[in-house]
Amino acid sequence: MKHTDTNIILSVKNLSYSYSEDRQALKNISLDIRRGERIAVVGSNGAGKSTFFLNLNGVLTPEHGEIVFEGNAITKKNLLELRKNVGIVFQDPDSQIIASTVMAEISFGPMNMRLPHDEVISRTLKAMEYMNITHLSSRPPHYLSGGEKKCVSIADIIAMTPQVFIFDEPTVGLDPVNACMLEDVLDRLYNEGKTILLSTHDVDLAYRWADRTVVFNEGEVIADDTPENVFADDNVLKKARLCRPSVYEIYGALREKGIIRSKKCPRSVGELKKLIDAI
Amino acid sequence: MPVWTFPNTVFFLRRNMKHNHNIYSIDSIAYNSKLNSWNPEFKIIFSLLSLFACVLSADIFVPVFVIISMAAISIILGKTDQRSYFKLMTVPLAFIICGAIATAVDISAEPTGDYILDLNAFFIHTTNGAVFKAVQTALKALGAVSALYMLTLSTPVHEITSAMRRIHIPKLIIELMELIYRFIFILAQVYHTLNTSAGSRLGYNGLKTSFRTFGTIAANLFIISLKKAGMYYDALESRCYTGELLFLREKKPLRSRHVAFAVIYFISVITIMYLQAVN
Repeated sequence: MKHTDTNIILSVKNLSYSYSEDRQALKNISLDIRRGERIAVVGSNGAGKSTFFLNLNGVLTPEHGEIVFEGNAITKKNLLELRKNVGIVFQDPDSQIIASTVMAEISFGPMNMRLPHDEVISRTLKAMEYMNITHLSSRPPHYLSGGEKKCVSIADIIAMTPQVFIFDEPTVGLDPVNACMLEDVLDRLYNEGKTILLSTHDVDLAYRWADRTVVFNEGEVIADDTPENVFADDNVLKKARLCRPSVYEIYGALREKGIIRSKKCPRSVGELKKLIDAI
Repeated sequence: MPVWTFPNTVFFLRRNMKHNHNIYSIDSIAYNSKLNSWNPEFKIIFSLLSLFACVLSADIFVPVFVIISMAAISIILGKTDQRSYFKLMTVPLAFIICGAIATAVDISAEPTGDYILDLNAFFIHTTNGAVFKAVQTALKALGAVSALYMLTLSTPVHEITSAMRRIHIPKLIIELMELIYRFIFILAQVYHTLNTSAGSRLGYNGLKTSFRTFGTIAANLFIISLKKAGMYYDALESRCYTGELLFLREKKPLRSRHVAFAVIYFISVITIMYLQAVN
């Protein structure tokens, strides 16, 4: 089945999944992900974000519905193709890291892809360079600091050069410096044309970074729009128990008082500052 | 070999936890060992040959030689911490001593043998021959364990399994070995966390409480470990894992001085065997 819109890289159709009979984790989800999009997936704990991600990468098999990657519906036969092209960076690096040296760890993905030896080496080295961890190459990853472990777990996926990157709550447990590093990596990946999905509880991050925000609630997608529209919708925010990004709130207050006239809501603190400076 | 060290690992880990050591102890010892740079296949053959020499020797001299030399190799050449080495050794030693006592001692209704302990209802007795036999068996076992320790404490587990893969040991066995090895660490980690948190809530205040806490931990340990293991497996699968843990191996060429060392070592072993046969 060929898809007509070639811009759609990953398409989810009527996806349902349940861990046990009495509780459905995902209910009839349909979503089209376009090439190069930056999608923030938000929603409270247990809303089904992680389950959704595991389905996207083929670790979990949908109960109903299908996943279409670049026009091809995923079956058991081309499952590995999906896993090669959709990489997940797990929330907890400790549950992802398995090898006893950083170099071996990062080589795990490319080795599983059965690439030639030289290619594995060059990809591993490149991924380490990309994440600035070349100096850690022969260290045992379990002894690294939280931020360094995160870098290793991202390099793990970069070495596999997938089209789609999924970050499952990447900012959890990172200090401000490492959170900045993470955003820098996200920007670089975006500029290279990669498609990125990122789940987070940090609405500020979701708001300033994403082109599109998808809100999960009890296994359903209750909103799928630009961040401006999603965070303007009181019903959605209430239902998903989300709060508004601080920049958005401050902008709203300033506009109400007539201090700021700009109709376009700033995305980041920096943009807001510019608006205030211009007064 | 890892299969051998599973119980030891757990015991060792539990001991060390009291001193707040990291629980990746064995892996880290192997990683930090100066022998880590030696060719892994060479170490495997070296350790297996010593093991066979121990088991096949008719007297106690070869086992004693192996015990002492292996300790020297690990501690002096490998720079493994002395205290860790002997601590690790106490675990098999406890089993070996129990086994030796069981083989040496007999119970009967009649007073026989060279040494007799009268317990009114029955006699515990043993003979010179049986005592010698028990000591000999114990030394053989300890020698064999020492030989395997030299390997385990200097070779990360994935190097051992990759060597096993090359000699075409069935995939199923290797995969099981790798996963069991990994899950042992998960179990230990979970136990450590539960133990700490129970302790912080006065869970070990008094014998009765301690027992109850231990029971609760044991019950939860299983459930939590299972959940964690599931997550780890998902992470493996998402990186195209299909049953073989493949890592980039650092090239560790076989060096002529290592071979020369092995030759001298086994010439000594054979000389000892020969001298003993002559006498």
